[in-house]
Amino acid sequence: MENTKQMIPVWFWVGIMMLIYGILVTGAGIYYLINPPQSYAAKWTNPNLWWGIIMLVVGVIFMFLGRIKKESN
Amino acid sequence: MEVIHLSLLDWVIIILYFGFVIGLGWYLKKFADTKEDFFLAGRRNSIWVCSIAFVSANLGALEILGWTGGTVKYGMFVSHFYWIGAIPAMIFLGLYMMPFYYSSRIHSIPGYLLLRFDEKTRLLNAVSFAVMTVLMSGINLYLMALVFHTILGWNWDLCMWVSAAAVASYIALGGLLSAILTETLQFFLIWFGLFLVSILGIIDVGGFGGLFEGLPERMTSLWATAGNPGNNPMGVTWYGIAIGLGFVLSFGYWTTDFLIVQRAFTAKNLQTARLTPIVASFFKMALPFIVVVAGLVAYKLTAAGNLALERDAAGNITNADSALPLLIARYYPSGLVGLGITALLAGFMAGQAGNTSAFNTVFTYDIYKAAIKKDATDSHLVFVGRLITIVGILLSVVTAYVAKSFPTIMDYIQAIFSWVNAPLFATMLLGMFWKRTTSAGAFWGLIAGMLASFSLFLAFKFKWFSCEWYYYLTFMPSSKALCPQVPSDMTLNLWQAAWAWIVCFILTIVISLFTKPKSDEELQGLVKGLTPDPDLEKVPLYKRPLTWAVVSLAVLIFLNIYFW
Repeated sequence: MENTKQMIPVWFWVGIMMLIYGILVTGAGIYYLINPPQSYAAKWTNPNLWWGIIMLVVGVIFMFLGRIKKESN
Repeated sequence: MEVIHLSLLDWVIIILYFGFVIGLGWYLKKFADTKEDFFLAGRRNSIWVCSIAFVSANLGALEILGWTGGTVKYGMFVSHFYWIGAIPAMIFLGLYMMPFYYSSRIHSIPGYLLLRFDEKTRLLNAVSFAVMTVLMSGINLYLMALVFHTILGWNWDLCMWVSAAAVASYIALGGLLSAILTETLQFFLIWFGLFLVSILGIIDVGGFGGLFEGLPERMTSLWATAGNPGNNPMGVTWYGIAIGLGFVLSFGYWTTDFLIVQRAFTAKNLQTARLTPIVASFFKMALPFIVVVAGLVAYKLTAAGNLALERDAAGNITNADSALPLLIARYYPSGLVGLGITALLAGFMAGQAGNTSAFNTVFTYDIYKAAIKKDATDSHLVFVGRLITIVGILLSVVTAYVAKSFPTIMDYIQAIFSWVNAPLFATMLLGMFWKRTTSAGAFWGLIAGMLASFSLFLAFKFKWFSCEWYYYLTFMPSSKALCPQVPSDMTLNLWQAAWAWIVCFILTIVISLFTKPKSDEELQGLVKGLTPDPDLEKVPLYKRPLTWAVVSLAVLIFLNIYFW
């Protein structure tokens, strides 16, 4: 029962979601470099920055994993 | 008590998620037109999708909030629910039960009961399961509104209706495929949205060593304080954990609850289906690194007066469930707050979506097609599936409003788990591994087990017998000196499930011995001994379910010894 319609793999969706959120969170991190926030942890580490970059990288990796291949399973 | 304030960026992140899942529902609609696609997600999923969906169907926001709060009260004991209370059952499901489920090409667990036993056993389970999923989905909705009302000050009705509408639309459009996709998204959101709380918490308290430093032994041990129920905060014994939780409750839930087992039915082949719960067991084992670590950080901060958890006059923490939101407020700047809240929202919605997709499958196949319209065409069934999705969601909204006006009803609904699942596990075990089990035995055993569980629940709740009996029935006769104080709710819950299992197990055997079993021909592929052994297939070692089961068990044993 082979389907002619090719579905975009779930990893692509995970990747694009992480990429968008990664960009937003990293953006906030860059902003906080200039204007340090009130939040407790952000005073000693800027979690938005490093966590956002991790999300960005993971997002790109997942989008790569989820690209449509000719012989997709 | 509003603990978190959202910035514009946080709102953007939250609203993006809603847009994303509804958009996905629309995209998936064209792949969900046949019944195989709508109800079984086309049986095309790889091991990673299946196992992530499998563990996510179980991993709701309720569980994360509840067990983080639970850790503040019970300490490391909470890990039992993730380790001994889950892993052995998941491995057993993959190694021994999945071949019968998957190979018989059924759509649901009641579908297996029909093939193995008869129509009435199937209908009994289908109806009780359908009722359970709608009620659970309603509780989920109620608690979600409660949580967001408490921590963010959101409007109660708006919260319920918006999330119910979002879930209804993407499940009605994409069926199980939508549910599985959003569960996969939720899995990553939970790790990326909440794991950072634990990381920052550990940095804050001075590393892993600092986390355990200065905490009493009852908070930091798994088994060392389980010898005497008086010594640990949960008030349970080691055999209560091992038998009640590790055997009856966890096997009952992980091996027979269609909501999670359904995820493995979507696998592309038997080997993938068998690996699904086994690979998922690794994800499950990792969760205490969010939940328990965050809970211990909250406990430590509260003890030092750095976290605003409220205490009553006796010094007991009254709002432990707010522990995680309070940590988010403490550690996360804006942007990350939005991500954390989205993770919780996604968790709630995925929990509801899971209940709804399981409900629409069981209703459509095991109630509608079985008892109402036997000659339904495929496209008609998909139509009914979509319609009943919306009906199911509306019923759960009603349940949520009922729960809102009578909060005590929650106890009853939560007890349903042990009415439905614990005895069903006895029926399944006998049905799969003892070919002599008869239809009459299964049906009456199951009814008796459910009744036993229900009446024991009422008896415990309304004190139908004297205090000593509480201790006899929970196998702790030496602790009866504690009367008039009765055992902890956790203990009662564990043994109530155990009794339901015992009653169903014994009665099913006795009745089966006096009634006529089905012939061997009828039981091909359904019972051990009459089904080809899947372990005889030639597969490389690293792809065999047994290999990974052994690794998983080894990790489990290591964790238990390490944190003894």
